[in-house]
Amino acid sequence: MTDIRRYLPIPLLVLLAWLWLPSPAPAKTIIGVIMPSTTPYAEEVQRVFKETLKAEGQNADMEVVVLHPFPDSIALGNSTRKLVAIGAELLVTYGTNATIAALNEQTKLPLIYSGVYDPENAPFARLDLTGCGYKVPLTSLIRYLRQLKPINTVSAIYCSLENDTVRQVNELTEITREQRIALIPINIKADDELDFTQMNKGDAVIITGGSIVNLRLPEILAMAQTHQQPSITILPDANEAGVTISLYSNPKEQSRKTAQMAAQVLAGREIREIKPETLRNNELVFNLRAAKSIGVKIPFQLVAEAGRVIK
Amino acid sequence: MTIWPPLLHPNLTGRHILAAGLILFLLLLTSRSEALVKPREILLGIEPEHNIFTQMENYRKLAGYLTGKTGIPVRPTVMSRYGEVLQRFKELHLDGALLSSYTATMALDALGMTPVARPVNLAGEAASYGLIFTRKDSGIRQLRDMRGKSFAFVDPATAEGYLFPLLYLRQNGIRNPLAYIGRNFFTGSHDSAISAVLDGRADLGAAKEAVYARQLAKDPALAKELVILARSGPLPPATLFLSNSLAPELRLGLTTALLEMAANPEGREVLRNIGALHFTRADKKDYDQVRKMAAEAGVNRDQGPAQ
Repeated sequence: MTDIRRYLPIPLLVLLAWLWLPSPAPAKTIIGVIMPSTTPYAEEVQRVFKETLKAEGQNADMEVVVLHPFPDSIALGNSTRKLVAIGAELLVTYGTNATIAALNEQTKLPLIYSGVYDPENAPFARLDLTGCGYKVPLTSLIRYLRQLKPINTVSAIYCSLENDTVRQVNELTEITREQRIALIPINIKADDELDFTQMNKGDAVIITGGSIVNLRLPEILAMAQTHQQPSITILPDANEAGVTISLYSNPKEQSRKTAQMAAQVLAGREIREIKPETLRNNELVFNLRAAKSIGVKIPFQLVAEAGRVIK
Repeated sequence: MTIWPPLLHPNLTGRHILAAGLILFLLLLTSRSEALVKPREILLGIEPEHNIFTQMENYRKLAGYLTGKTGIPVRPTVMSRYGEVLQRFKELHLDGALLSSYTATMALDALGMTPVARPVNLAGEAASYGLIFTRKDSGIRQLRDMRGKSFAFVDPATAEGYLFPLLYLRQNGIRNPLAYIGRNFFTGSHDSAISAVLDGRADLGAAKEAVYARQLAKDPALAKELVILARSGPLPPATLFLSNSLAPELRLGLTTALLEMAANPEGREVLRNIGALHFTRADKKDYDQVRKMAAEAGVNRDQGPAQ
């Protein structure tokens, strides 16, 4: 009995200490984002993503960790592993390559894709994934070019490293074949010396929507200028850089939708319960200044259709 | 009586001057009435149905034909947008206009113009139809898919490009069509509404079937991209209206020239360019259904769509 009395204060002290000490801060929820280093408008897209999460009530106890690897499979795979290692509870991947790389790592984390071209035909289309992608009708690009000048041959700039642009150039091959236009695919890679010798054969240039292509935009446009070729792209807002026509899906809208999906996952919904979205509402911009500089006049009735005109 | 200035002949009297003034007045009056009967030219307004350059080219040929038949230059002028007819009639003193059905009701009610002739299309119909269409890959197949989707209308003053889609939604139980669909905008012409849908700048669009068919004939690949969701009933096609202030013989001359066009090779060639077999007489009663359609669609011509 004496022994018991002697040891009684110990559990009492432990209990008091447990009650008195502040409870440890709950672990933060980490959202891991893989956004290739060459993603166009990366900062703006991220800002919208974070703001939307906040607006959706995902504010406190949440951290968005963004990695910007080079868009090749090794770098993208490494990024996925890093995010898993720091305890990310949700992965958000920008573009088809980043999505495939994350899937290849076979993590059990929920994954949401964003900025994927035509996700219904992406390599992962049959998997139980969700996310927000976009689709721009590439037939419209040819249609607009044909209204500027006769088009017999057109070059298409793409990057074989990026699945999104490969699928776009495949689609263009099909469209131009049907319309009896010769297509010259020009494959560019990030550090290569650009070989534009083929480009001088085209009546116009189509710039596919990929991050590496976007990185080399100034050189592509300089070459188009040299050959007096109108250019058209599905890259957003590239007109400031001097592209003649842009028909694009708003990347901020994609990011906003992606964040809303992420908020739902964090709130407990299963990925398979969230319907994937493909944004098809596109914006049309004409750059009259760029057109004039290569001696092309954009017809008045076309200009009237544009959402924005750069003079 | 002193005559001023003194340089005039001294024998001139006030009576002489009065007589001269009277002669001058009569001469002026004659030339004025001559001007009413025979204007220097007949100015016809054209609504911007599709590519205005092609449209002007086609109507120039029609105008040239009418010039030859009436002996007075007939000049087409494109009105910058639908519904501008009232303003243009007042400002430019238009003698007539080729008006689509809804604008025509305005011309009838506010300007007292008269419909004289309307074209019979290659299918043998003096009618126009409206279409609602979308991209095949849009996933929109029925009414309930239209909720929240963006819509490209042509102009608030078009039956095919505005009244019809609103009426379609109302007839299918949507009390407030503009609130049911998502963002909407006016493209200004029928072919622009088609382009907007093709590009994905709008999920849905409405336009004249004739313009849709013309686009398809020009680029058959479009058939793979677009799908028609709804078609309107027959509406009056673009019809020639003439101002009631135009001299009766000129009105008769223009009407006869149009109605008899198919009887000669030159006329048939012009008709071919505008996609018509011949012209037929038009009647004010044709427009009663358009007024009814506007009322059912909840559109007040002066105040816009009812919300």
